Amino acid sequence: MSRGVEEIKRYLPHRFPILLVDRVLEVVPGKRIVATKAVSGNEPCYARTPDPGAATDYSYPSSLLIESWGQAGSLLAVWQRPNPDVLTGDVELAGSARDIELLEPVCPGSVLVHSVRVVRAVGATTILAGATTVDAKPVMTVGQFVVTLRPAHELRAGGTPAART
Amino acid sequence: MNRTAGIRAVETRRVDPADPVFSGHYPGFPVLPGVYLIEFADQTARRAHPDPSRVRLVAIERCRFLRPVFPGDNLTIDVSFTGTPPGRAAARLHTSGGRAADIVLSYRVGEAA
Repeated sequence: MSRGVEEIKRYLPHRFPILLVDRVLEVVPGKRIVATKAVSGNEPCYARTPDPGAATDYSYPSSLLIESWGQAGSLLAVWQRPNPDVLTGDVELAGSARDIELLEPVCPGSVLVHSVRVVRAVGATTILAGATTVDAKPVMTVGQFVVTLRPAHELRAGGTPAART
Repeated sequence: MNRTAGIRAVETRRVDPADPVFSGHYPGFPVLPGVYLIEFADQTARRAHPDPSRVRLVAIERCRFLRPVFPGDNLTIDVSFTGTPPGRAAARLHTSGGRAADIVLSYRVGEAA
């Protein structure tokens, strides 16, 4: 029952160049998801890589690895309430994170396999945890990652709830 | 960039409204992905580190996003290292609107990065 980008776009508002999930392999709504992203040497993040460069110049940026995992998590969070358009729905934001361990560099040609589970869901906030593997080897573990959904008009007015407390 | 004793660096950068990321994050409502703030903190930390070629980012110990960052915002990124060799970087990011994020990054020092 794997689902591709065309279906992912019905759930998530992210679009090129920052839609970083290619395929959903497995989802148990409210509980867990397994989703993949293929990393290519043609990613926009390599546009300014020195040429010729070193192997480390092609390490996939940790920030995008985390974003990709987080999008798998967002998919899980909105699976029963799709949110493809922030103007009519909500804006998905990362609220906080803790204990993200970067175990191995990721290089082009890798297929990231993200597994995410719901630790807790309270209203518009979902607490997630999980890991990413490449060829069955862990490259990242995520201890805690909190995503929140917020209406766009509230965000234009100022900070997040955490900033106001 | 200003450096002071104890390895602290403060940088400012304007969030470029022409960054292609905004066309996809999100259509009709451009807002900087939170992970970009992690990236910015990492870049400032590396520039401040005395031996940047031998550090590798190994963990985001914690990170709190406090305020959305929009195209054109001016970000101040204030990073302080602790440890011997310096391996832990606490970053505070803010815009003119207030605090945007607090991030603690952990580096392994010593291997060729």
